[in-house]
Amino acid sequence: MKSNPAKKRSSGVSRRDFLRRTAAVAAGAYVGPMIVPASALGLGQTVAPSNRIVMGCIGVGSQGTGNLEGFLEKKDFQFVSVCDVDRGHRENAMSIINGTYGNKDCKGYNDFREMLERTDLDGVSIAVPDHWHSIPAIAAANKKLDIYAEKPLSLTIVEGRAMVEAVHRNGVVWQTGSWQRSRDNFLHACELVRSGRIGRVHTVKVGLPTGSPIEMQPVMPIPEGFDYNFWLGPAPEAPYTEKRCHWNFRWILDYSGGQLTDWAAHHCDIANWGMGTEASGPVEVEGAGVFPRDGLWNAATDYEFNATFPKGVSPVSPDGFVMNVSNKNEMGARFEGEDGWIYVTRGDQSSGPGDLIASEIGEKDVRLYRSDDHAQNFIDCVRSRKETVAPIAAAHHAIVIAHLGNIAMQLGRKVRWDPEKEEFTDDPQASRMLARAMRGDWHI
Amino acid sequence: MKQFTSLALAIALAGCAHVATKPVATEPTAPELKAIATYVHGQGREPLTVVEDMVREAAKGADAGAGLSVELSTLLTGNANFDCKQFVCRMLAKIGTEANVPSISPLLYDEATADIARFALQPIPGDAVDKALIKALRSGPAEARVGIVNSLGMRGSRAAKSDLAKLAGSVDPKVAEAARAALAKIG
Repeated sequence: MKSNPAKKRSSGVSRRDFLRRTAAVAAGAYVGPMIVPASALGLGQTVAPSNRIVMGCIGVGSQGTGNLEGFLEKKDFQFVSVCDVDRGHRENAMSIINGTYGNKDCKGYNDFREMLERTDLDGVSIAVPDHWHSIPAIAAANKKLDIYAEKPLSLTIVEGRAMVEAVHRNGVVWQTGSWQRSRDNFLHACELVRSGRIGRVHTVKVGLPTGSPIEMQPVMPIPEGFDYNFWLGPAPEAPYTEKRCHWNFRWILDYSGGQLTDWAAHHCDIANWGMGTEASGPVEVEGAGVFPRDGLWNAATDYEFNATFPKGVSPVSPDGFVMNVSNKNEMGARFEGEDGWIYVTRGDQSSGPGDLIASEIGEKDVRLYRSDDHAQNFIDCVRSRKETVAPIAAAHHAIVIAHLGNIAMQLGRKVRWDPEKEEFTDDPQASRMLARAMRGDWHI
Repeated sequence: MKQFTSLALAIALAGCAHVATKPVATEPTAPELKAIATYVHGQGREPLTVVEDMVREAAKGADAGAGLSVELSTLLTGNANFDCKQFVCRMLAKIGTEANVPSISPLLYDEATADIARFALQPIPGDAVDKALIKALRSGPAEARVGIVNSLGMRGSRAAKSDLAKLAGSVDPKVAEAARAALAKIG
């Protein structure tokens, strides 16, 4: 079932190299924007073991295990290893993998660096807390592994930029877990906006969830089998308490940007997709947030900020536009133009005036990247070496908006931003918040 | 790489506006600061939030919080708890200046406090910070060395290049790898 590392070394050509070379040949005959799904070529259910994409998982908590279970439905993958600093999570994921394949081949690791030393991996699936996103992703990219990784892309702007550069420098395939891009209603809404159906867009309202406070938690003994020091990793020293870890990391600013960054990676990403601003960013950000004054969790519970995009960055907003991001807006993205509005969220969409959301995209309209299966798109791109529907640069530009919002709200004032240089303009204090020092020996 | 370079330039330019001086206060005078000296994790965070408010408002002032930073840094030289010192270092990361370096840098020489010192120093502009980090790199505890190398790299510290070049050949693979990564960031 697994590829044979010894055989690979003796041949001097890895299966990964082979996949890339054959993809390059195929690319010569490639025409049009569509990537032909492997499933459409009859590959989905009949992939020879030697042609499977050999994968490892880094992080198999609730999200990582959910991703894994979805991936295991794809016969193109062969999962051979699992890494998690929580033994319970690790052993559960190993059991799922071994149960799927009917063997005991999956190997578990506590330290992702040891797993990345394997020579048989083609790619990794990363689903770890946000403060751990950059380090294993950059390490995997430097090992020339293709990467499926959870959103939000980064904890800081500097970490995100380093991740983008590592992925591009190494030429690896990257897909962010911003799976809304693989849902037809989001694609359709964005294509309508990009095709000018609502005229010049002046405002995009992005609605995200409200955060939560919690009372201060007592210091607790570290559970057996949980490598808490490794879980903290680059984050500041802090004593263990249950509500700090696993799913709850997202409420604490040492490990995340709160609901703001968690969901901006979805809906700000869709806003950028619709506006065609995936490679640019705002020049001013200003807003206010309510940060819990006591208790363990300190990410903003209520928040609202405006990100001002300048002239010329959006093809449907020549004069510039404002992206209003708040938990007070309706969940999703609402595009408001001179001739109407379009709203899209999970499982729903609407428009006005009339039912223009129901109109079809014509031959002369703008067509965006079409994917109807996020995992399959990753598989197809690993084989074709094409860019996925959710590339790392788009994820970076989406989450930069949220990072800027958090910085402006924490400073309590407007910040000005140069999206080309990715620098604050004449703002040394905000510039201090571009990156964070990392604990111990960890670095990007 | 562009980001590291620009951050380093900002740090260097900002550093030109400051002259390193020793802190004058020996203990905080503000009751809000005195109140956090015994803070430990697990206690209510409200007293810390009050200080965070002070820092945010001070940062908007004419001196960008430099005055408050001097008073805050006295908590690093006294008998305040580790958790208090860690918090103070977080605040100094926001408003600290070269004037705080003499209070922060001794923490680099204790393995237990070297990280929190770096959390404060890494974003503070100015040559005095680079000098303090380089000095600790040469004579501080071996356990803190990789972290200091990483912070120098993130700062884009050109003054550290010769030290880092030597460490890139270290027999300690962690030190060597960190030094190479830091040099790549500095360019």
